[in-house]
Amino acid sequence: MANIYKVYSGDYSKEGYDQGIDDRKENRPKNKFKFFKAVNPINYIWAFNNAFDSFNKNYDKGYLDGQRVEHKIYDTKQVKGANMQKDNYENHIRMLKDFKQNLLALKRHIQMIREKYKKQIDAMESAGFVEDIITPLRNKYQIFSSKIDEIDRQLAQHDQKIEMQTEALNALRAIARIN
Amino acid sequence: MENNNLQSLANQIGWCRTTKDYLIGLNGELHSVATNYQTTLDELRNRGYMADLLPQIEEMNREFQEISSDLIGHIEREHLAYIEKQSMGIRGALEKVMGSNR
Repeated sequence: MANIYKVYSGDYSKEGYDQGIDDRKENRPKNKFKFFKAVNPINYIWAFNNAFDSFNKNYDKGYLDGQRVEHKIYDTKQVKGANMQKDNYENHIRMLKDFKQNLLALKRHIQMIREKYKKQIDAMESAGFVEDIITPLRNKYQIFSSKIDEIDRQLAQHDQKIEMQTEALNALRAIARIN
Repeated sequence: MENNNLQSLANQIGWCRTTKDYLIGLNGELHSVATNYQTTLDELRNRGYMADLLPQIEEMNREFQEISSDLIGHIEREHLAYIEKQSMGIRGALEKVMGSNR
């Protein structure tokens, strides 16, 4: 029940806080990508921003509380680490951009394949093929075309997922800049 | 009249052959589209893309490989087989007309 509420509300405060405490306790550097392990896949499309924000804010809080318990003070190395992290995010965002470009090229290619096949059938018809042969082929082409639509829809969904990953990386980059 | 018939049947056999070649080429293109997707994923992996985000893209690649191989199978089973069948039928008709001419 608690899980359903979590997925519905996108509230990952507890997971974020516990993870922050654990990481500090184990003396590990901050790693907010643990969000992607904690999050239910449904929250990639539902209440993603809330899930992401609640986890990250509370991760920071847990991490800080862990440090307070230990009575330790930040040193300058953390600033350098944050910059390295920021550069890394930019690199990953660039990679995703390339990936997105390739998806767009595939989308165009798939449409081209469909057009070419249609032209081939039209050419057969004008070459004098009897209707008995052409009509079933046109029907088959409709099924083929709907399968192409399906691929097109799938590529569009993939494009959205890439967009969401880009947004997540942009948010993490922004956090790294603040830190 | 029979000559026209002969010519028309011969043309149709020719078109069946080019359509068959075309469909084989089309399947080749679909294979290359699927390979491109896989290559793009490999590229991300090789460039050290984030391990936490990569599984989602790997899943996307699996989905794409599945859907594209379904289309390739559909073309082989439905389109290529159909054209092959029609081609044989036309060839049979051509042989009949040629036989009656002898």
